[in-house]
Amino acid sequence: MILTFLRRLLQGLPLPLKVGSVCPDFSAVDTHGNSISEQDLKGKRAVLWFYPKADTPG
Amino acid sequence: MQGNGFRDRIQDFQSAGVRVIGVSLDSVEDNRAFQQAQGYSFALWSDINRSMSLNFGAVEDANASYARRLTFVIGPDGIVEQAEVTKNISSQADALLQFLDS
Repeated sequence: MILTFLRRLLQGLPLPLKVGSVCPDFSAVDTHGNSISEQDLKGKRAVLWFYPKADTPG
Repeated sequence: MQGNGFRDRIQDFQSAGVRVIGVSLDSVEDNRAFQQAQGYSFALWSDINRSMSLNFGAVEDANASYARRLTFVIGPDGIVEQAEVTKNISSQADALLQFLDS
């Protein structure tokens, strides 16, 4: 855990957002073409999973 | 495929009152085709300007081509309840449901 932190720090890589932080502002687009922001996450629990590429295994 | 785990247990997420949202740097068209091909009833968001990936730490800079596999649980109040590098794709949905139920 600490080693991972140090390695990422040394490599200059950003660490993922931490537990307890406030969901940051953002804008995105859904598959209907609607604009989405952090406001759309309010009021209901959500799982956000980032993936590298559409239609690839995993 | 990571999304298939969520697809197969989507009713459990819905029963728990939890939205499932996939996020990538793909175009809206590519994500729409992906969603239809895989029969996903949950949302896929295209992070066109990389604002999500940058702010959540899924890319290193605005020129990145791919998002890292990270998974977050965001509470209804906007507080991050869970943040992890996705390790086991096939069991991820089950593990999240356990966490959400705890």
